[in-house]
Amino acid sequence: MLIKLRNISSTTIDVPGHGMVLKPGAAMWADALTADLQAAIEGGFMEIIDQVGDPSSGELPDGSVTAAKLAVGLLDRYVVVDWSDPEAVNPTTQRVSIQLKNLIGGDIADAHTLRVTCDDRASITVGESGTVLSGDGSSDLIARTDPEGKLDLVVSCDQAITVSIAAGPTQLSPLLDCRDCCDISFEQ
Amino acid sequence: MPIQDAVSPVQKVTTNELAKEFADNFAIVGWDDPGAEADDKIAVTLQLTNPLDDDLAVKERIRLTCTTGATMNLVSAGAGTVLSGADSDDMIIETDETTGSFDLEVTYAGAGTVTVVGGATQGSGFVHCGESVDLTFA
Repeated sequence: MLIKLRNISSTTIDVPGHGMVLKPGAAMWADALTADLQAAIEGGFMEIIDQVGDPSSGELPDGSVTAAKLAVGLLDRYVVVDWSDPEAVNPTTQRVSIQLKNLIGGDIADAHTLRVTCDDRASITVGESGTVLSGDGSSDLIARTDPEGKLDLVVSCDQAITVSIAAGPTQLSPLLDCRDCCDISFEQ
Repeated sequence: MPIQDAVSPVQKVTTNELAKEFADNFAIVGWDDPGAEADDKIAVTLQLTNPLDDDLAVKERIRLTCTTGATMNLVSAGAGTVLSGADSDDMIIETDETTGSFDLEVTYAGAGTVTVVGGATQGSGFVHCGESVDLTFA
């Protein structure tokens, strides 16, 4: 079993039994949890931050592959649609924005294509950020975010209803998580 | 040999090493065994799982289409919600949030095989729909 330890103290420590020093915040791998290392952990100088099985044992690592461990290049391949809060322009018009995020909530600064649909009693146009590819001014448009991953939408409706808006994948879309939708209330 | 070399073989990530919280971002559409035909209807349950094969209890929007001539709907009092297209061959549904399932009922007056496929649509998450289901009507 290999373990990864980090110096959580505020001073450089002499790693017991390893003939090395570890600066504050630095990490190291050890091939076993010795009594000296155990004492350093119990003394509050070090903590275990990762562990993997012996490669020859066939034992699996600790099973903790999380989104946070993905390299940025891989993480940004999974694109999550995130909606801002709607903002009223006038009684029949509201603005709302989509920002593309990755699985850990970081902004994805890239232009991606997606389809946006809403109740057919309302219509959508693209605002300052983003580009409309088709369907501008309708309830079913295909648009592209700007290079910062942002798409501004202007929603118009002349009835006192709640308009639900959904995004979804279409041709040219990346892997998209569009489970979050947006509801906008119009009160005439 | 530096320690980096020693650990590299186990740094090849396999599906089983995914943390549940990470794996739960990805839904896989699967189908239970269909029920018996009765009154030209066959019920079959769609169940979401994650890549670890654990049932995934989330609300997921999926488009279902089936062979022309057949129609689909939610089983009476079944799990899930039909968003559009009830009693047609092209339906958008929502799985039940507490079970990740949708109880589908397919009606077909003829004899033969009706195939049902799922797909991503508006409001879908990361959903894999590579498995279809064939229903045999006598």
